[in-house]
Amino acid sequence: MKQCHTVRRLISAYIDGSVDDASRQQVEGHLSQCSDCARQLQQMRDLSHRLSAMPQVKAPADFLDGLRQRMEQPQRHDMPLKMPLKMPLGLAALAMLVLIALSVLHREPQMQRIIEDVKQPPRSGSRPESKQESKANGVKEILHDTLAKTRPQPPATAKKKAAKEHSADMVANAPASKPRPPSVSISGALPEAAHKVPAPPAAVPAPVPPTTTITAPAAPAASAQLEIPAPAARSKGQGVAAGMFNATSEPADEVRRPQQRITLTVSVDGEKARESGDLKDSGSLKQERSTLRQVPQKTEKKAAAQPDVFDQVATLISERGGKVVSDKDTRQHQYMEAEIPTEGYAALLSELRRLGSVEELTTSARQDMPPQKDRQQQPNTMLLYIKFQ
Amino acid sequence: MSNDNDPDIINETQGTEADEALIDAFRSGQESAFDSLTLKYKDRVFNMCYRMMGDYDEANDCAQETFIKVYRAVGGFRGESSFSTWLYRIAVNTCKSRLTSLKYLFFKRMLSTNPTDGDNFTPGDIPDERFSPEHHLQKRQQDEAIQRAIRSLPLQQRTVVILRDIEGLSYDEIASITGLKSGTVKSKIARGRQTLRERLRAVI
Repeated sequence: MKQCHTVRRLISAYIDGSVDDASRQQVEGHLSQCSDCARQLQQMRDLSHRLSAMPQVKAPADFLDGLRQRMEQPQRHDMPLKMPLKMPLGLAALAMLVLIALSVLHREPQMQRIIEDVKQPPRSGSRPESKQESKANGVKEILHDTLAKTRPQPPATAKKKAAKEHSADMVANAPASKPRPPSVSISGALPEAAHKVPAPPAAVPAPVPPTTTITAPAAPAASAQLEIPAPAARSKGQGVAAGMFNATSEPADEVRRPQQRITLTVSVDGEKARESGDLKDSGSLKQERSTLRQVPQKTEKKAAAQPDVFDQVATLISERGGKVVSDKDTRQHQYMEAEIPTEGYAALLSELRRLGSVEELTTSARQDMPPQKDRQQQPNTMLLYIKFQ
Repeated sequence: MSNDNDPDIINETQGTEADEALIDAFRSGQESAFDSLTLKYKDRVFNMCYRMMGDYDEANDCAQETFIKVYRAVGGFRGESSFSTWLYRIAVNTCKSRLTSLKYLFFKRMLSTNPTDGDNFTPGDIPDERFSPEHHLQKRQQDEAIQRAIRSLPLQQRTVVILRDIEGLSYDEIASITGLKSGTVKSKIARGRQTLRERLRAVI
């Protein structure tokens, strides 16, 4: 058996004639005595002959043409091998760069919007100060710029709450008192509302809705609807951070809204004032389109030179379905507080401008109008703080 | 089967001289000389590639790649071995590279639906009934079985068996082509043959 093992290791070389003489004699001597090894030798020879008899597979007839064609594209073959390894890396890097660039560019406008929105709240929050200044110095803050933006209409429930607060402010006030002869400053505002707005508990300082939209139709009879976005919503940190004021802010913030009021500064100044008032009014009409029924902040300037302006204004208010809610003492201080249906606001505004120049000023009049805190505003009504000059 | 005393050695020598002449002509700028070399060896290279790869398209691809490499490197051919040996060496290395590439292994595994088509081929599982009575069909099926058996061999055994029994090269030539020692070539040929004999016992 040991000899068989040795011989079988030499059989392959033996049939190739690659063994020395000693090994050949050893193999031949064993094969004459061992039939198994002889049979294996025969099988090995048959296999070798069979392999050498395998038909030669010839190259295609156009092998040379194909070769030449391929040689004209030297890198063609290397590409498929290398591309799968290199391309993914290159593509991945390129894709990442593109994605980063796109994301940055995509966020840029959002960031701008967020920045603008964040900046605006502080501006509206500082309105009380501006109003105080305007009171003292006679400088009016015109709302036209801020009124340009249109905000989505808040939910009905929130609006109702806001209206309640507004009406609460107005109810307690007595009728208007007579203004001073030369100039009656009517700061018809919703003091409480204006004050509450700037002070929402939210982290972000965005009390007064910076994007108050006032829709004032050109025709006097048309109804003016003021739409003020909920301040609290803006002040919400998440909403601000995400830049999604419109989506998140409205519902939760309506509670604060009732405390806003419109401050009108009326200066009766004859034809000049009337004309300028008309121009401003028409200019503002374009910007004031909203369906908000909540209390917006506006200020009108009017140079009132006539002593009965106070009564005239009170009459106009009553003609439009509104009423003066402040007491008579306020007349001495040249202002009145009134409540007017939203539909009649535009008409009242138009009438006031016929008397003189009227400017709508933003005001958060809580500090200015402390007595109206507890009043509740009816829905679809506007609280006015009319200041005569 | 030894080629040492083969009477064709003289022709082979003449062929070697002809190869050198063609190489010189190609180096001097005659593109047609390379075409002549290609036409002379394309079938042998192609057959060897086919036996190594077991696929006609793969063989064509490897054969073309072999001649492309020759075209680019023939300028550096120093004549230390015959051109045919050098050519076989390039072809063998090309086939080995392809067979061991991840891409080839991936597609081979993905496209392989026949378990006997891989390296785990066991001819003993092939029933004799598979071979029809017709002789040519039987021989064809035998060829297919032998080819699968060859492909089932380890790469080095497969290479040396193909070069020895199919291409008819000597041990020294095989050693020169594969870079193995002569004794290693001999033992690997013996082992490969033994494996084929066992696997093709029912076929041959």
